[in-house]
Amino acid sequence: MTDATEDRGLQAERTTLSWSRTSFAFLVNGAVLMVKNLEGSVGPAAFIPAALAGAVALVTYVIALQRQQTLRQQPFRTRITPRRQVYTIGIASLVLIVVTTVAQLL
Amino acid sequence: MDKIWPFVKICRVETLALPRPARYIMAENPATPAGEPDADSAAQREPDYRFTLANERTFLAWQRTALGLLAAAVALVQLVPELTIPGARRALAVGLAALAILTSGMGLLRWQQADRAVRRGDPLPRQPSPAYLALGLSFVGVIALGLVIAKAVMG
Repeated sequence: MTDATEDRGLQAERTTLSWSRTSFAFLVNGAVLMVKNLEGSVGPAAFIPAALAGAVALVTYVIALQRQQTLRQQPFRTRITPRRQVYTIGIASLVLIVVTTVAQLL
Repeated sequence: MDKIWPFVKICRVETLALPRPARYIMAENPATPAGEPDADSAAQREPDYRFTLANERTFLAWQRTALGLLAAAVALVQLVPELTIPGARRALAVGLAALAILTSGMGLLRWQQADRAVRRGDPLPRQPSPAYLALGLSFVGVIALGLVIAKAVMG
């Protein structure tokens, strides 16, 4: 019984850490996008992807906090599948890649 | 064919004989309330939480891989000096960004497939995708190495 409880705690912990790590990855992308802005002389085209990355990082972090709350309750609720969150982050990630490509790489 | 056929037949019968959701719903599943043994009549029954969370973490790992590729593409354009062949740097960056889009989309697709399979009690779908990612990255790496060598040789 103790084993099962501990295992559940570690599962929830790994999952929450995974969310915050992903948030950090978005933030790092925003930082890399801002590097050129430090030298000045850039228009809004360079600023938009960085701002988007920062916003998505914030959203991911909020989801991480929500997941932590959800998974902390020891007998899980019957529905813990994060369908909405997964779609949000998946689509946000795709949008960020496309916007960055159009604004900076092409 | 004669040798294979009875074997296939037996396999099919045994697969069909399995109670369908049993593969993913553990006996000691803490997500299901106790004293509810006949609950697996519903096809959309919530699977074992371990599969749900593992699938979630796998999805996030795919997204982080995509973000790493994107960061590499942006860093290539912004930080690396222009290479010998004009436009080669930009082409490499666009290639990395294309890999990032494929990786991110694949992550979402894989999450959907695995979630559906786990709910229905089907086996998890096979995935050849990491091999493609590895091939794409090797290709980009070889081209980058070639450009660096060309720059070193030509000065």
